Amino acid sequence: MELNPNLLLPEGFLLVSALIMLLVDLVVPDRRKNGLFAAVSFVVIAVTMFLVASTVTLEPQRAFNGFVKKDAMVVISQVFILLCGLFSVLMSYSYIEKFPLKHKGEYYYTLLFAVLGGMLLVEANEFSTLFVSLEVMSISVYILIALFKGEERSLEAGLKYFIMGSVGAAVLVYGLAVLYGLSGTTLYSGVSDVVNEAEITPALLLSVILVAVAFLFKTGAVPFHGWVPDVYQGSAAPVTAFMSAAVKLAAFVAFLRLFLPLFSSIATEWTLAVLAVAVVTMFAGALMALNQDNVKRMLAYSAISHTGVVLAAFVTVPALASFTVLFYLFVYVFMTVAAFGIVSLLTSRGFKGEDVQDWKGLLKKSPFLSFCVVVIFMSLAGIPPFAGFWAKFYVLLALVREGFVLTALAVLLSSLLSLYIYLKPLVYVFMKEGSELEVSFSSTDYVVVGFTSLSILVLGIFPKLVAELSLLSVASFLRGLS
Amino acid sequence: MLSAILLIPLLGALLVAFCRNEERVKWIALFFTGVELLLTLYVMFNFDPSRSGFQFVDYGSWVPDISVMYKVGVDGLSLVMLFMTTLITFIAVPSAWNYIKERKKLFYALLLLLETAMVGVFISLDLLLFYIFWEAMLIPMALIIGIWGGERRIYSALKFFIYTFAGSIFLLVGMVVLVILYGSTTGNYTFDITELTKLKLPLEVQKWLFWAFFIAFAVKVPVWPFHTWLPDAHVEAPTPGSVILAGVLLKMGTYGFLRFSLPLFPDAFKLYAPVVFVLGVIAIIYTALVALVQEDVKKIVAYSSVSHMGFVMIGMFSLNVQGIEGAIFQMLNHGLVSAALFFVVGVIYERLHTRNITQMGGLSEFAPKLATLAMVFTMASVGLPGTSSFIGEFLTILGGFKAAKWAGILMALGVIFGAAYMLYMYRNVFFLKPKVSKFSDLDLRELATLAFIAVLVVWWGFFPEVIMGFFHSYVSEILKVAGV
Repeated sequence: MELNPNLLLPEGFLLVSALIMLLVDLVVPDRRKNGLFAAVSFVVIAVTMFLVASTVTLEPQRAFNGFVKKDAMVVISQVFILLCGLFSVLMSYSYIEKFPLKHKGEYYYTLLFAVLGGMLLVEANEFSTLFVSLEVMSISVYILIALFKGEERSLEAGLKYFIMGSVGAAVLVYGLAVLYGLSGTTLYSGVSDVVNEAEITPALLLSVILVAVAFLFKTGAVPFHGWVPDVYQGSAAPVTAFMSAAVKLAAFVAFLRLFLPLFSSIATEWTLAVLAVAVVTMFAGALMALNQDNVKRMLAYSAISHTGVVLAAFVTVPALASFTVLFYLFVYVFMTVAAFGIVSLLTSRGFKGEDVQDWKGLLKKSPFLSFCVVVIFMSLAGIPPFAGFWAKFYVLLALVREGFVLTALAVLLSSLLSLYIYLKPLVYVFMKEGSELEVSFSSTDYVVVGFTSLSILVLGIFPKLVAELSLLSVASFLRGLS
Repeated sequence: MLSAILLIPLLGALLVAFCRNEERVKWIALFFTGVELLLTLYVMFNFDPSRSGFQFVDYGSWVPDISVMYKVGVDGLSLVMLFMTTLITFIAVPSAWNYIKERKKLFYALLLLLETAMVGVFISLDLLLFYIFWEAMLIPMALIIGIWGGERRIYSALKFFIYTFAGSIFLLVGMVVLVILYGSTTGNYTFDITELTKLKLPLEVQKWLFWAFFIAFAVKVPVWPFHTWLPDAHVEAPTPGSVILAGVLLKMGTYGFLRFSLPLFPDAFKLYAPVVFVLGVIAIIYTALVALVQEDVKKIVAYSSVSHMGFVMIGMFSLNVQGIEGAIFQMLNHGLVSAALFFVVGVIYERLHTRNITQMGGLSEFAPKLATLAMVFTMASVGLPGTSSFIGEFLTILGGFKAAKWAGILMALGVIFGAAYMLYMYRNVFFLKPKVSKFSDLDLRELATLAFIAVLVVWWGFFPEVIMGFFHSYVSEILKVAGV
């Protein structure tokens, strides 16, 4: 027996804290809840982050008989997920001040559970852990969305996400079951030994397809993207930010950790399929975003388009793929949080500010926020000198290096298409006059938007920082495979 | 030294952004662009024109995992481009003085950011660094057009941004392919331009990469038929924006051809020269004809830019000493003359609030100083001997003749058309019967700026060697690299 429970100390701490909050929720008077719970959640996440970061090692470590495996990739991804949690808490505080919510306590500890699910998901090394952690994360997010139940569209979004997510989960569990049937074990390493030895059978292909479909669902790739715009638009902005950043990061990292070792033997077969999905996804996302005026919806389609780009990076050889994907995701976390952060900041009663036309004349109200708008949207478009450029550039480099020049061109053409979308906010903020948009300068959103925008700028000038994190992750991950 | 030149406008932009006094920012901008120009002059005086290769090289590691370096330096070509950039930005500040009345802080901050990006383009010795500046330049320029431009400013700003970005996509893919080819042949990945140019690519590969780079540069120049963004952008841009667009931005494209296309793909460059001759000749003649029928004075000057850039293109692709030297000289000269002409148009527009040529006339009665200086620039644009344009146009035509007689002949024809629309414009604006009742002459600031350019235009017209001395060795070197 190799339990090694110490390894899960940060997760344990997070879990216990969330449970305590659940109890405390019963006795705290309602009017003080928002501030108190936001502050406590912030501290809890920060402490967890510190605990996680202090365990970073290049040498992979296992716990619970290998059900869980931690290496640098896991730790760094977890830090990013926790970071998303922090941002989300900050944004939630001012969002709830603006849009009062009945269940403030529930909201915060559910958010902590979602973070916990994401953390477990990236370290899963076994099918049932994978499935359970994915569900912990997903169910928490369903609740988070539906908690704002005064809003009809929140309920609709929650329901939609729940139904879609359940179908995804069913598909995943079926695929995993078939894989278990083929190999007789649920551990990644055991399965990959069997699968890589065996002939490619229809059953194996079926299981791969099912698992892949489930992840495409989660990451919002075409043709499983239908829920994304409605859910992104219907959810509260802090929840959307969390979904778009942390959930996506966790799902992709889990995908990477499951797929690369497991299915490397049939890599050539699925390259073409993944490429096809990737190219269709990035163009579809960009095209559908073209005539959106609701910024959240627009960002949802842009998120689909970005998913396509990340997927394209998957087909390069394992080391390069993991590096590129991680780099992209790390940068994307900042961009997407910043983008939804600014939406959250600018939204006021009646959802004014969600529409890009409400952003008219922001320049006069806040030059600083206007500057952030430039940074955020130009970074999403992949224009230097912002971090988004490097993310895209690494994908290009990897693709061309592996001989996918046309795919590289497709990535760029899709960014040309989406350029028009990202220019729209700039047009409204800088080039049109007149608005009665409220800008609350005191809100904690301001901190989030400012911090993430500056990070995008700094990382754009020193991409080395992210590149080194990604390199470290990949080195550690590959060491664990051999 | 060059790093300082790169950083000073950035510093200025920050200072402007945090300055509390809206009136003071223009002085800050003038100061920083002035210091920038002085530093460039310092580099020019300390530059050794007899040596080939790059001087004042600064470098450091930047993104080591993909061997991207921070590396800047100048050779003869970069140096004159750098000089032109800092000179024209310095001129653009006073041209904004009266024109920009709102959001001055933002305007001057963007102008200074733009200067950093432009300077970066011309002094980068790392391919990716070059690309970053090349793209980064789009944001401030698009904002300048979009915020302070005319009625159709948003359309023009978007068109400018999207067109240029679309062109750059091919450049980016081409660059990546080039670097990876270099890496797979030498086993050593680098974005260093001096290293990359040592690679001898097979013609088959050169052909593809040539076009990838060509599209990006051609859009920027702009080469006919990629030019349609330019009249829109020019007409809508505020005066300082037009000054910089015509003065500097268009030259980034031609600079790209000389810096990258020629040394990297010399065989394809030679192979496709006739295609470029055809495009260049069409640009010269066609846009000159288009300019002839315009009523908007700014459009005339804008179309004349496309036409003049045609000379530069043919000069470069003629691949002989006269052609290339003429092209570089013409780049610099067109930068000055078109900047001055846009300045003049701006001055007129500020006073009359119209750019329609039919509503002007007889301005020379009210504004003799303006009329005199405008005459100098009109003559320069026409290519009158004694002005710097004459040298540029003459050399490019000579180069064109040597490479392909028909091209030379048609270029000469283009000069005649050029004379036609410029003189037509001058007559309608300054002579004929006055259609306005009052028009004030140049004030001291405007007079000083225009007179300064006029002096340079005439000075270089008589002593082109002052400038050409800087790039003789560069041109002989590049021709050697190209194997001519």
